Amino acid sequence: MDLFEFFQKQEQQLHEAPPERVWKRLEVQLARRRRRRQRRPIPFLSAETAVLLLLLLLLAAVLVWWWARSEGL
Amino acid sequence: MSALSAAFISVTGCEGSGPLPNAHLNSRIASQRYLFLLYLSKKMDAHTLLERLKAEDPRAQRWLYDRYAPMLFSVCRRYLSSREDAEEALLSGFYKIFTQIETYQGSGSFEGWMRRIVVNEALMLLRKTKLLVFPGDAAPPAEAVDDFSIEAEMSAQEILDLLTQLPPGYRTVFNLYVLEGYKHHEIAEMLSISINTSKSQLLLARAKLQQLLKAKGVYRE
Repeated sequence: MDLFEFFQKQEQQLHEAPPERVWKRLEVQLARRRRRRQRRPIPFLSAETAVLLLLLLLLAAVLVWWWARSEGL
Repeated sequence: MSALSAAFISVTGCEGSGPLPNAHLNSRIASQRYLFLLYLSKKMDAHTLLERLKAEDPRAQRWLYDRYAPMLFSVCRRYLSSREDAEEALLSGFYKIFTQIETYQGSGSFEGWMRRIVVNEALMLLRKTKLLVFPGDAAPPAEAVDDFSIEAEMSAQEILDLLTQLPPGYRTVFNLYVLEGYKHHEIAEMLSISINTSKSQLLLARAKLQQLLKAKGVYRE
């Protein structure tokens, strides 16, 4: 048997279950991610988009206030 | 039939309709089967499973992990000589699989997609530890003629030991070419090396393995 063929045939023999601690750590990371996503006010919005929207709202409010003041309302 | 559907059928023994087979709850495989039977009982198929993974359902994630972790851990073990590093690569690989599942279009093999992610994680770790060097670039050896044969059975541990005795550069190219099936130009791109370096690393890996196998007395002319 050719050397490469030998290793290709033996590859499945190498399958080995990882220790349970790997899953435990992964589970913690995934749970943390889920919590982060659930905390968002609107789930599909990223934190950056939410901040940008807030800034735009603030700017609009300032503009309205400035316009109202200049019109003497 | 997609790779995921095939995996689904191979574990459950059924295609999602008709009577459910009895679940044997006394082994790890049985617990996987039980999980899948749960899916079946709710009329869920492989497509739905993928949807559940996209929705970050922990049960679907656990099933996928149990099903593929042994195979993907062996991939990490082949690239990284340290067991701790292999565990680290597997962990970050699965994290990416679960969080980037949206990017799987369903056109290619799901197993192949996961394997590529894990291989990339292992390579990234190798680069980070600065172990990935490619000695012997200058004088690539002549094409080796393989007129030897392996005359003994070897255990998984013996095979892994042989691979870990190879320098990281040889081992990485050997793994990518022989066991993952990449071409030299793809390996050169992945590792940012020349095609000739990839070829020479493979020939050097072969020569080193022949030498190690001969020393063990299992490789004869």
